[in-house]
Amino acid sequence: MTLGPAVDALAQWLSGPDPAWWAVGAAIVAVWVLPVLAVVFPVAAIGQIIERKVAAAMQRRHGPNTVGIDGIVRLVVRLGGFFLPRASQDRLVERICALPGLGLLKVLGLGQLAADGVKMIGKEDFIPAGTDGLIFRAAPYLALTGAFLPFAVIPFAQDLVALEVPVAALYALAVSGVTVIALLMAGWGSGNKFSLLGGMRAVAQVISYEIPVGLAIAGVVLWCGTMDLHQIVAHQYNGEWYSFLGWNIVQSPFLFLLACILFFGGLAECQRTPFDMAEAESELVSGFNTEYSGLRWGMFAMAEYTEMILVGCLVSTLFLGGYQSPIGENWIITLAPWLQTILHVGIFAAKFTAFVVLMVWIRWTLPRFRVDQVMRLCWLTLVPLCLVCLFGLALTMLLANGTVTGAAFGRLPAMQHLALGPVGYLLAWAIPVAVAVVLIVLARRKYGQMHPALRELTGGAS
Amino acid sequence: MILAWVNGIYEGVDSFIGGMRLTARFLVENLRGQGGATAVTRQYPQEPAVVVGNRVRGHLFNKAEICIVCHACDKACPVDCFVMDGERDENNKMRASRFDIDLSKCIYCGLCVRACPTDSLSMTTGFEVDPHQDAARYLFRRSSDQLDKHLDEPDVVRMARLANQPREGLAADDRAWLDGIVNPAGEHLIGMYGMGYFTPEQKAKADAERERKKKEKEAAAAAAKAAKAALEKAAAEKALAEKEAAAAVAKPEAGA
Amino acid sequence: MSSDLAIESAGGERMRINMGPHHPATHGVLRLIVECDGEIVSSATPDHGYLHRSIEKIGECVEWPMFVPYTDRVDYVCAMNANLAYCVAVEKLLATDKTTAVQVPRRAEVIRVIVAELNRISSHLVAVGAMSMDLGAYTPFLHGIAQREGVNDIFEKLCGQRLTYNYITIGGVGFDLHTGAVEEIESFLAQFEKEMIRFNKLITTNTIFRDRCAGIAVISAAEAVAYGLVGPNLRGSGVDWDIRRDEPYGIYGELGVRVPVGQGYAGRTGKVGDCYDRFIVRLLEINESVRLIRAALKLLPPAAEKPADPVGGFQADVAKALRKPPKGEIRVRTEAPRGEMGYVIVSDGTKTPYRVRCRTGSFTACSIFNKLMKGIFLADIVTVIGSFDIVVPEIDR
Repeated sequence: MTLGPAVDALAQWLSGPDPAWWAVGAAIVAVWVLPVLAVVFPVAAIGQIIERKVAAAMQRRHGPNTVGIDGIVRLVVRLGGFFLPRASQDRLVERICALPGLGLLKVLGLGQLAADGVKMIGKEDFIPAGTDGLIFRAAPYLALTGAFLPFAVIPFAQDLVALEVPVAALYALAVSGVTVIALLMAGWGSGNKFSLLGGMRAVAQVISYEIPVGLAIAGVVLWCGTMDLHQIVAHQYNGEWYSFLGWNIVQSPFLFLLACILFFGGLAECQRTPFDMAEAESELVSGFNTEYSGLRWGMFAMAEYTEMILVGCLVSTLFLGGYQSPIGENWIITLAPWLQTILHVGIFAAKFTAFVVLMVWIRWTLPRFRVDQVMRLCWLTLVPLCLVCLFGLALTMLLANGTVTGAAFGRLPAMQHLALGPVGYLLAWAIPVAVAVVLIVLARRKYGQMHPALRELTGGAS
Repeated sequence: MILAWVNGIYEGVDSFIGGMRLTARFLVENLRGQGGATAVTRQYPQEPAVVVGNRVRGHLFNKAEICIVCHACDKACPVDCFVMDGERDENNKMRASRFDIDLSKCIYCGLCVRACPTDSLSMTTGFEVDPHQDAARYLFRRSSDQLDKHLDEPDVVRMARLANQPREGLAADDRAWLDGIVNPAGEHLIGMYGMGYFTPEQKAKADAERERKKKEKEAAAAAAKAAKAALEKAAAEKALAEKEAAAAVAKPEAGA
Repeated sequence: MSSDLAIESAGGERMRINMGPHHPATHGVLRLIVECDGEIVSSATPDHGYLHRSIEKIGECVEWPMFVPYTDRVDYVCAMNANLAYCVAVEKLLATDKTTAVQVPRRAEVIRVIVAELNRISSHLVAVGAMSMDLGAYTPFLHGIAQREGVNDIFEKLCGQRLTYNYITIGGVGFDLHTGAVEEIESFLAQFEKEMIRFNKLITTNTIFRDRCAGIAVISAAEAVAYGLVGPNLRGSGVDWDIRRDEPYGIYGELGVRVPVGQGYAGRTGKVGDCYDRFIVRLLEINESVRLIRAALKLLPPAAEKPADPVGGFQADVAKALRKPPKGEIRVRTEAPRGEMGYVIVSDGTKTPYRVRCRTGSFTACSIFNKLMKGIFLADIVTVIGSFDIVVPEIDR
């Protein structure tokens, strides 16, 4: 294991602030991260198309389906086939545009991506009077940086990780917090009260949600006994064909809950509905990015989608076995290394893309919280739930293994994680679930009445 | 307290899952229709907008051959968007020599159509107001048989350029082209009053007619005034005579 | 909770924010001058007049039937009800003299109720949809609008327009029902009820939505009456008052209107007269309208040959009466989706009205804004505006 120079720089910076070292470290991390961006950037762009298509289908609309590549084809034919007569040029364009693949491209709205990009680049970089110049201009870059830096430690495959850091989980959590500074800068620098309110909301919210997210990661760290994301993935290895049973999420109901909390906390940290306090377009017009336009706005949008992917990556890595296949891992390991890497990246991409789709799905389903409700959810629901889960997890480990420290089991099948074997495993699930069910039944009996008028409105369902 | 807390979490999760299930069902339902077949929206410029029913109140349209210039529409119109002139034809029937509908004023209420006694006014199912496709309909007077003639954008630009010049000053080919688009003898003219293309003959005819009517009216008024004055004079003389006669009658009585 | 915070932060520096006239959640061009301390609003003053078109003054210049298209523009979300209010008022004026009294054909009366209730449905769909959109949920809004398209299609077939109908006339309606209208309305209602159940499952019973509306902007019954709130806003506070039932016009008296009132539907966190109650009252009114339309369709007499037939016709002959209407002043109120829509008409016996004034629900609702918005969160402003179902042309006329 090599401590990357970036981490040295980071440690230096943490122990005593030295801007020069920090800049060098950031530059080195950026260089390391670049190959990872080659994977993340297209996915972030495609995330926007997913968002728009899914939203359109849910709302009985068409979504983007107009931008084809007809124009590009026409241009190319005109330039390349200048010696042909105009009529045959047109016929050629028609032929090419009639290819089924291109039609599908158009219907899927992929052309919209290019059109959006051209539009954003082509738009005027409008900076209103009264903005705080440097802060206003710098905020989008910082947002993008904060969104991309954590990818340095995410293992995309067995050997595809930019930096092998022993404290990777901590690093990801810490670096992703940079975004909040960018949001505050955007809110303050815009010289707009709506932006300012949005920025302040963003700060309050992101800082609060760092706690449940941190606690959820702490649960995994407790279970696996390491903070190295690569080792956490390795810890979830299971040699059988049902290799998904090695994943953290099925180990214990508490880990399952922590995965949910990590996901929703992540949702709140990347400011997505129902937690989009900072943008809240019906309240704050567009919140912190009200005054942004063109490419600067595009950077915020890109940062948002990148953060969504980051949340997907973190949940997949910590709880869903990372890049490992759910149906048998051994057959992949026997393949050639390059094929192995490609398969792993593909599996990992499928996992985090599924989370992106889930986030999109949530966005077009739920209304937005109010500011105080977001805070209440964090401090009165998620944090106590995290503590309950951590306690339960520790208790499980104590009962099963007699110790809660250094639970380094190595690469063992899932059933053997607990010393009691399959029965213990089932009990570890059954007892907490039973307690929860009892509590829920009692609670529903006491508070679960619904007004009869509402029952009538929802067609008699309870 | 713990139960309330648990209940809160349960309710949240329950309604979250319920909502997600519902939107997933929407998603599946709408994806099943190929190419967004169950989408209720329409790709407007590519797919034409569908007009339902036959009572649609689109463009206002006057069938000039049966219009009798009765001004019923003019009287019923809340926004005064009609300007019309009439003349008698060889069968001594009223015909519109000019029938302008100011479509920038029209509110498409349809009161004029209800008021029309001959059903010459109607509202068409066409309603496009896309300036690139149909500007000519709104900006220029065009005859009814040319209403659906398509004008390309260059044509519209050319028309705008030409229509603001006096017709006499136009080049011969421009005049010929414009006469082909805007029928000077068109019975039904539709467009924006005051901005349109008038043939001088038509304008002179309408003006002369109006002038003649005005003079006639003035003459009639003068005649009526004169007649009235004469009548009054006669009445006054008569009254005087009667008075004198009465006085003449009274005098002898007094004398007697 | 919110009021406590307001007291704590009363001493801080205030920030003045212009919400509107161009703001995504002010439903048109309503402008609110909001003074707030951080997220807590200390005052919100509505500023009107951005959509003023002098419709009432125009009414003094046009003849009696010519004003009907202008009533469309008073409230374009429920133009049928606006038409109906004016026409009922003029008919009442004409009825003050025996020589000018018109009898609206029975069939026209039934058609009026059907179209008015259909329009109430579409108006309430906009209201509840826009409120859910203000609270951040787009999907229910678009599903509501998709249903509204069904109503618009029916109206387009019926009278040729989708928004400003000019359908109801003095003495009847403009056209008879088109062929197949009854079946169309029935099939629309059948699928509409199913869709509404899904709509309600998606947003009405959603916990986030409920918690955002519950206990916000609570208006007591006495306050609601004192501030002159009308319609669903009044009924949301638990006041059992509906013109259709209590001062029936047309054939509403025969239909037996059931009036839903606010009961603290949100459960433990809710209070009678909060935003959630107003929202639910609108949804219950949609159900009631569906019932009324079905009942009215049963009462529909068959069409007669002559338009002026007193039973099967659709338009009484009023031309003569409107040339020389009786002198006098009349005040009539009807129940539009946004509450009472009343017309005060003064006639001097000529063919144009001497004075036309209308009273609309949104205008009075604005009067209570400043009171309600003290001490709530900035985010709650949109909830309150949404729950009152403000339509700005109705405020400004």
